[in-house]
Amino acid sequence: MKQQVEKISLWQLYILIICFQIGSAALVGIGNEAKQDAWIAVIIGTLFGIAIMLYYLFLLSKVPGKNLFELFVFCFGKWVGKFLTLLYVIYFFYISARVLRDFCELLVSTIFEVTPLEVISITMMLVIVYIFQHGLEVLGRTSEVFFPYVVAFIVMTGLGIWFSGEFEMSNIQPILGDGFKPVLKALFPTMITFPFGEAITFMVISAYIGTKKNIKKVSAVGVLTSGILLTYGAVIQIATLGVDVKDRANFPLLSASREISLLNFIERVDLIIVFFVMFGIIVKVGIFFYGGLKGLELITNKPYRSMTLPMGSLIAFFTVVISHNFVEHIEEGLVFVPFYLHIPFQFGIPLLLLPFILWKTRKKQKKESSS
Amino acid sequence: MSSFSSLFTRRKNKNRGRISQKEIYDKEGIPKHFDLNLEKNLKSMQELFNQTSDYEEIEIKIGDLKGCVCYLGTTLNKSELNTHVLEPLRAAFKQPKTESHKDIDYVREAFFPAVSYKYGETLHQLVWQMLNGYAIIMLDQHNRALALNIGGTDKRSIEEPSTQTIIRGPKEGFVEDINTNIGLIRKKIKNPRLVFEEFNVGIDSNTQLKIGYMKGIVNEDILSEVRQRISKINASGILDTGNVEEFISDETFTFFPLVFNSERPDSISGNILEGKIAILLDGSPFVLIVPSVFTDFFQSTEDYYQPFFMTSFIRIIRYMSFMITLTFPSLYVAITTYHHELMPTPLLINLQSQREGVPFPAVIEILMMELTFEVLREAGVRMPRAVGQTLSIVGALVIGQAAVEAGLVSNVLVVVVAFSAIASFVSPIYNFSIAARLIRFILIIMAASLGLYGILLLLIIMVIHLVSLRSFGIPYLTPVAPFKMKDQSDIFIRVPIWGDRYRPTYLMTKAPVKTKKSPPPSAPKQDSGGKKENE
Amino acid sequence: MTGCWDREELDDISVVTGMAVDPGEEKKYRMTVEAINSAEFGRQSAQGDAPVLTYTLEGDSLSELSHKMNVGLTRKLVFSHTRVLYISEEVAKGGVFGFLDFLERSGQFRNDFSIVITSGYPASEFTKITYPVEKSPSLKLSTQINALTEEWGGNPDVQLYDFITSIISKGINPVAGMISMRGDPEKGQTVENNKDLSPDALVYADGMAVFKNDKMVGRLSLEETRGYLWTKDLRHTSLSIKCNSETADSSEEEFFLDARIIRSKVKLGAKYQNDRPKINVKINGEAKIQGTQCPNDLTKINVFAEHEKLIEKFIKDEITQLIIKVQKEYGVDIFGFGESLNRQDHKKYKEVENKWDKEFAKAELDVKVDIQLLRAGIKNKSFNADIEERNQE
Repeated sequence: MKQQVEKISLWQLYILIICFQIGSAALVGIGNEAKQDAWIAVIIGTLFGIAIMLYYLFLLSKVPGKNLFELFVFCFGKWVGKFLTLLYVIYFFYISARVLRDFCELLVSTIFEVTPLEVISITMMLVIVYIFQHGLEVLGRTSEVFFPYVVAFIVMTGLGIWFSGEFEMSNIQPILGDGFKPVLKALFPTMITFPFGEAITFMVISAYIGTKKNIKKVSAVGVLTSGILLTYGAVIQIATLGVDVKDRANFPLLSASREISLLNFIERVDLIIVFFVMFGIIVKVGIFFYGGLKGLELITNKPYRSMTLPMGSLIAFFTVVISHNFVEHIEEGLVFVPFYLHIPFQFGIPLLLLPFILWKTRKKQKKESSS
Repeated sequence: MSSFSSLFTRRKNKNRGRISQKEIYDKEGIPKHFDLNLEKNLKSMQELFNQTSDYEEIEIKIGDLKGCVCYLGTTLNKSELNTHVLEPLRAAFKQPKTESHKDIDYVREAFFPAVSYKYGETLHQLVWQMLNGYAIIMLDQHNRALALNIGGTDKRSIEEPSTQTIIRGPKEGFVEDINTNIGLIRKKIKNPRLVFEEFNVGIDSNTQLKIGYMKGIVNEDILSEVRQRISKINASGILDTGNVEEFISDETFTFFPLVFNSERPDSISGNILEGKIAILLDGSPFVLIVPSVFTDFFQSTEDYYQPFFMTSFIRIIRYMSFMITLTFPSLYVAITTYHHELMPTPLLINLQSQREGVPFPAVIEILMMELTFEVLREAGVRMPRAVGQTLSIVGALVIGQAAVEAGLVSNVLVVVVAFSAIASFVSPIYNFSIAARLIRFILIIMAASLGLYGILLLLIIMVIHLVSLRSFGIPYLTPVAPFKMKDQSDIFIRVPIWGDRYRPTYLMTKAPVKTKKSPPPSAPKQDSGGKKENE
Repeated sequence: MTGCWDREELDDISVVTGMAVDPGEEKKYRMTVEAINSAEFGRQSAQGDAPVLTYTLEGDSLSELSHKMNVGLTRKLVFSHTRVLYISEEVAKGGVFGFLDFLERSGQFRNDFSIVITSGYPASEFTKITYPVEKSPSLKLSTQINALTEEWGGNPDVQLYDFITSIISKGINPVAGMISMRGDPEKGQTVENNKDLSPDALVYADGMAVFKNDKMVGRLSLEETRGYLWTKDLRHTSLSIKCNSETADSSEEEFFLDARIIRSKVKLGAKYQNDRPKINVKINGEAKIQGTQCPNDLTKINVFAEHEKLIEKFIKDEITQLIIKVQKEYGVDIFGFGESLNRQDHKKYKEVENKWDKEFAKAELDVKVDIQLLRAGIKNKSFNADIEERNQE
């Protein structure tokens, strides 16, 4: 029996989108600028996210079968395309190192007070390298196995807090007390780029879906579902902790889940939450990693599987090196990254692609209609 | 010096009586056809059998034909030999001579009409047949010999299988004789489309292997793959289906079995009806089923004979037990060494008080106890039956208790280890629990170095490994991943039999629908007034 | 097995169940920890030794002290199971900001411990009083606080996040329960105390403390604490209400009705009318009669209705008196009317946010109580009635 070519199914795509978007966003607080209206910001952000996703898919659908990098080559020619690909490779690798760093910081602040970061980053990258040695479909199937548990735990956290009586819905009020301004502040530039803009990595994956028919619908529903889960998470955080504590908490969902206390026995379950975030992180870092690897594949013309181990170690190394301390890491993430990295890579260049694609495909259509 | 490819003979049932096609191979000292001279042939035979003590010859005379009956006394039933072969021959001795005796066909028709037979043209064939319990009748000046199937030696009677016991359901188990086993399957599936194909495996042992399947249901690609893999079996001797398993698995470097085995005819028959292929080996009561996926190892045939609520519950318990066996000891290590916050306070204080004075770190404690348990378990299996049972149960508890009192381990540890050991027996198939037992040790070590993070990391790696395994091309974790909605009816819960209408889609069978749609069973409708009772 | 940086065997740790903060003599704080001696808690290994051990150190920051305790104690301390934080009155009056940040920031402390203010004796003494039913003083107190809050409403079981949120928010001020000791603390520190049927030294609940931001400004008695808890969805409590008929003269013996509140829900509101702040409290609840000393016939509807009104009046009076007392004496909004205003009229709240406590002190109060009296136990008429009748004959 031959091993089949890498293909993931639509259901796996749906799951990957959800795990990806939730990956770090559910854990780190999003929308903090909007205070108690953060959940409104998330809902609006979801709508934007769907639009962004559909735009990316639209670009892809014009030139079927090609992934993002092949699109560059198609539009801009070999050399410019390869150069852009290289930029994106660096971008994707950098972001995967960042996300991994987020997770390492989480573990080290809560559980492993003394363990050095390298241990966590190396072990996580080993797992991710192992996944990609087998191929993308293994990532798809693994997430199929874990997906129900990840979602179930997020939902049960909410229910657990509710049954423990720690929900104070009044914390959500006053709704839109200060108007829409804080909401908008939260959306641009932070929420649009994180987590919704990061869907650009799916432009690399979407080329490898088994059935191409319903990709747009499924992706949109995927973003919608992740938006619902994120809103749910935001509501839980605000209701349980109150705006102020949530703002000041580095990992608000974790702090919220510490409130669960059922039957005097099921208490202190926040560690379990950490581990379900862990899986989301693996998916997220994995997909960015895969994006980078595919780009490298285009540039060097070597199969990406041969590069997993060296690149993996590179990322594990960078995870530790990119920031000296937690504050630097956070500030980079809030100030430097959205403006200088996310906006051009997620929006700038794709927008640039649009006229080129339309032009080139119109030429093709003309050729076809004339022949 | 054994660089010879193994014998590969396939007999087509349509061609009974004629010389079957064979691959001609080299084996030193056997001429392709045997001599017309009887003496020379007999001499060659004796040489071939290396003067073994169970080689027997009886000289006969049919008319004026000289002949010989050769057989291996240990491979056939002597009384049958007497009745079916020697008696008619004695009668033949008294017959007047006629010309027609020159034909061996005539001899056969006249004297052995009721016995199944084959003809042999080469000494190789005759040797093979004698090894299989045939009695050879060689006549002088004939270039064909008659081989009569006399039936085999004593075999074990059909009894309850020792390894896969159930409470409700048929209690027959397979025996070592392959024909009896096939008979047991045929009793369950009375269908001409149930086909058995024969193979020989083992260069030196020449063991008979048969595959069974339902023609018209089974997927032909998988079938040809099975045939291919069997033909590639390259070993000196194949003594049990376990050997076969190692040859035909997609991957050997894995803890998890990729081939299902069972000692029970109903289990095998059920699987054949689903579209899978059974592999039987002469001499082994364990029959293999391919292709098999992860979830197959959590199913017991009893599941289908008991009410479906109960079995759905038990299935879930089985999966949970697997997880418990796997993770319970490592969770204990992780929580007591890294994650004290996770426990409720009274429990923590309790545990602490128990561990007072225990000299070893939790990890060493657990590893010691686990190893002790494994040793006990293995010893319990090997011990003679009279001693074995008492010793293993009592031994485990007593050793545990004694260790606690000696201050070597803590009480709660004995509970943890004992419970996870017992949980490992819930899986109906024995060689699956081995996977859990082995991985458990690795998990304990991971838990000791990285706590819960280490455990989860290893579990993810295990899932990745499982997900990348394939059994005859089918992903091992089907239908969980890739998720097939239709197949969910028999995995974690069991849908009642009248609802279970489809064969598993991942087998890509040719007959995916088992039964037509019919309404579920319900009570007969009564007329108002209960007239029915009076009728 | 390399890489075991964070490994701590159970043998190497001691669980801390209580922490006490007193003002230090030489340094800023004086901290006492109460650590469990786990051998005493196991059934087989208990030898009658002290179930907990305490140790005191002085220092400038609690976080440093929490790691320094091994100066006197054997094992590493684990704070994740701390149940009670005792703050002495003096420290509370001086402001608790100083060490609350450490508690919130450290991952080890969870949110499920109670904060109590101690009065009468230094906080450290409270960690040493033994009690036979629950060997660890802090566990005993923690269970006790839970039970009291549930059964009668005598302690505002305040936890860390609530406390901190109340400090920061301008619309509410924090509170904390208070505890005192009766008896001889010296005798209470030994295991012998446990052998006494009525222990020599005992820790008991003594009302609550009122804070303005992070400084303690006053205290309320046990009954007033119950009054406060009405504004926090008081779950159960028992009331003794005078039920003599109104025409009786004051020389008669007083008879009381014992009512038990089964559940109650409160709605707090605040609004501005003509630039005057108005605050209102609405209570909804259910009650049942647990005992009565009055001879009224409980099978009659009008008797039930009368009793209902009595209960409602009682509660209304209690709440009104309490809120007025807090308004007049302390002038701090501990109830959360400010937050209600924020929710109902965000703009106005933003205007008065910075002086809300003053606004609160002069706000007009309106209390509405609606109690449903459901049932009267398993008997209907009281045998009091029969005695009364017999007396009259």
